[in-house]
Amino acid sequence: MKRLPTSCPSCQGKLAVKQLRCEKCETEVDGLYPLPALASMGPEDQDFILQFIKASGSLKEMAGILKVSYPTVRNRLDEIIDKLNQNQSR
Amino acid sequence: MNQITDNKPVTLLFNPFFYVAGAKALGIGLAAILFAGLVGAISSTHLDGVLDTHTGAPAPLWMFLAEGIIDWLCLAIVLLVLGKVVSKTAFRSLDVLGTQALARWPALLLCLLMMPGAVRRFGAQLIQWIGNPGTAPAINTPDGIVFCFVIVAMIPVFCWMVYLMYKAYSVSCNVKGGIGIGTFMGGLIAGEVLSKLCMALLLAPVLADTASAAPAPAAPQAVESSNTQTNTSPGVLADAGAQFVNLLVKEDFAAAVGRFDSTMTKVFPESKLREAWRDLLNKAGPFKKQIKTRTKEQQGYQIVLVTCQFEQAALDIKGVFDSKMQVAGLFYVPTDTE
Repeated sequence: MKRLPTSCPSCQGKLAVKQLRCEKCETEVDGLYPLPALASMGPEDQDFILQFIKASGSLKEMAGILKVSYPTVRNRLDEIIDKLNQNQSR
Repeated sequence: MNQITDNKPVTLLFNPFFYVAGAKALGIGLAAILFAGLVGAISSTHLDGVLDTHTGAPAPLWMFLAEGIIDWLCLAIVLLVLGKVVSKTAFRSLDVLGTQALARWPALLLCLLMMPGAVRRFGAQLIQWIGNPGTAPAINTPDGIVFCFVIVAMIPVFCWMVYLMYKAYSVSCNVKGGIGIGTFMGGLIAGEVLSKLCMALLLAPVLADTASAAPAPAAPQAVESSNTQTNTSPGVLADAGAQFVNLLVKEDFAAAVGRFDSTMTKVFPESKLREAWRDLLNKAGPFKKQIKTRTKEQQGYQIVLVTCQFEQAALDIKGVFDSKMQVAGLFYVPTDTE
């Protein structure tokens, strides 16, 4: 499955959506739309967030699923929160 | 999830807290601390401070166990407080306590490294030499080689343990970088001071009994009263000497003092006898057995020499008996000088 690129391969700047297309009627919409906060995260971070939601936000359950300790999961979540805050502040 | 997971054995060695924390780490860590105390009791290795590991006086098992627990709690509590101050995240106290307990498991290796008798003997010689710098050190070369090997082997284990303590703090409190290292160093020093303080306050009565400084075993320990002349048969005297030593071995000092004459009772009360005996054990090692008993007359006095084998030396316990079969003088001397 193709991953959505979130940063420019040339200058590492943030990418934005320029064109959207309807798969049913093939209508195309042009513009400049910023990526949603979660979509702009890296694939590993997105996987973690998805698992976290599926685990009903339980760090303990996440630790069991990932076979790591509770503070390791919590620290990972803290890293993602930091990234989200940084993305929002840009 | 993290680059470090690419090499699980290395992670388990240097950052086991990535996988284990909380109650599980606490259980494993406490088991390691108590086992280290048990090994320490066998090898007389004291962990009497967060950063202290050395041979010392024999002591009850509970004291060795208590030392490990105090070390762990002192550092864990200090780092818990520091973590609450500097960490930006809410963390569980159980993780700090558990990971700090697990981080102390290399102390078990330190105690095992201190097991050889050569380490204790050479350590005692060094302490004796440092305490009496004017005297020539009686260096036993094989013991010295073993001692040096153990010290060299202990250094990386010790550094590893301190690194684990830092990682435990970093992971459990989510504190990294300069702030993490700085607060950990401060916490380590504070924990060391606190643990020393706790040892002094909580274990002081036992420490006073077992670690009292005293002269070397080669120096005669003498208290002798004036009325020492007797004409008792050698067999009876030998039995009395052997029985007296048995009382010392059983640490029945009240009964031993009961066999003193009036002068000895005054100048060498039960507390002093206990101190002298434990000093002897401290220097010569645990008592093994009585080898032989001899009697002789010296300048009109009846003397019993009970040759005793201790772990590190054979010594004569020399008792001077009066006509009432009471102990009027007591010495211990190297057996080859008699």
